[in-house]
Amino acid sequence: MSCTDPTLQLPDHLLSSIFCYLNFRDLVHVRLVSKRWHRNTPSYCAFNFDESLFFENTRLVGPLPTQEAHNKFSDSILDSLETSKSRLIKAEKRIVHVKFDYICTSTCLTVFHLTRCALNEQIFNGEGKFDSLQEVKLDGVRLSGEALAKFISKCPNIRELSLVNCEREWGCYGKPMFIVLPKLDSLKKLYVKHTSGNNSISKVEVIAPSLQVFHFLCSDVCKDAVYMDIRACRMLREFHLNCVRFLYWS
Amino acid sequence: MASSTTGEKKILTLKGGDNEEFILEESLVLQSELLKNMVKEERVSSIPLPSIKSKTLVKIIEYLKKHAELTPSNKEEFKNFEKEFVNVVLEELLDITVAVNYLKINGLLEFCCQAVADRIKDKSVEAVRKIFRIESDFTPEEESEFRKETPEAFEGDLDDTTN
Repeated sequence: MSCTDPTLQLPDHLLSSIFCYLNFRDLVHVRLVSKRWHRNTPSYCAFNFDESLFFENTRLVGPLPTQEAHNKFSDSILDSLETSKSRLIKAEKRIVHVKFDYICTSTCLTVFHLTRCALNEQIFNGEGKFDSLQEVKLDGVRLSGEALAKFISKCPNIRELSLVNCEREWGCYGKPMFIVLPKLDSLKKLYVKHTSGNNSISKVEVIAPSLQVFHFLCSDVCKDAVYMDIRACRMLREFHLNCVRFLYWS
Repeated sequence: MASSTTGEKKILTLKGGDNEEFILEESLVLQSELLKNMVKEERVSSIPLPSIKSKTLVKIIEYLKKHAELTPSNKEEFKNFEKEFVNVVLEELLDITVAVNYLKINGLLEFCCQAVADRIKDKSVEAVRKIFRIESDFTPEEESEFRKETPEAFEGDLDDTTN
């Protein structure tokens, strides 16, 4: 008894649940322990950062990220992506879940989820492209200016895009928001959900010739009517619309 | 079978793997989704749990009692209790985790998974194998490739087998 693997009594799903509590570095080790552990290592891992490190408390305007902490944070992401690149390439699925306001450049990311943060359009002014990205989800993300269009235009191979409760940058309280996407040849699925937030969506413009599925859910936070132009989406076969006021459809 | 009652409180008997019986208030076991369904749907008063060792059951019942007494004022105390709760040898921790998973006690399951994960983190591959007494089933070629590719995974923390 004492020389058998005590984890044999754990069902596979339980082993996976346990591994979910580990960070990337540990998961790399876990994958190498045995074939069974390898099989049950989640291909998804969360980068865990102590967000409090990045804030200094200023009573007036709430917490603000400090520049130094922010740099440290971005260095650490780039560093871990760099060292993990070869391993990510070998993983079956390549997913990185980053819960902070930093877009990382990687040539092997296919799925990118960004939760509760802000995207500044300036970070997309550079040359870099996210050629490998296929699935992008922005959940509760503040988008400044043209950030959304700029970001998406750098993802030429994107197949699935979800925008959940995204808002405009600070200072645009109550102002309407546009979802205007550049031409996307590979986009197959688009989900827009807007059930909370300070900005209502007033314009949606999508040029995606191969778009097949489009769900648009917009609850009463949207006070304005939505102008929608999806004329270019000729392959659309599934269109869910749940919206209080709807102005124009052509 | 109807549940026996003493005053207002319903009483329930749990039977561990070695037939040891544990008598407790029904309200306590409602924290377990599995037992809750059994009690609600079948109105049983005695539930056999042959796959769970009595020793494990004792621990779990201890947790259920503590958890039921949890109030905002003794939060700190409960946290300390939780910490002590998982401070057991690995086999016992895994027994508890498996049983809690079976009984579907969600909060405790998360806590147990975290506790097991804590014993894996910051360890080298070899140290993890030693702690969990796992023999590598990779081929020597695969094994040497891993070592070449990620030497850091095989370095350090080798002696940390205290848990």
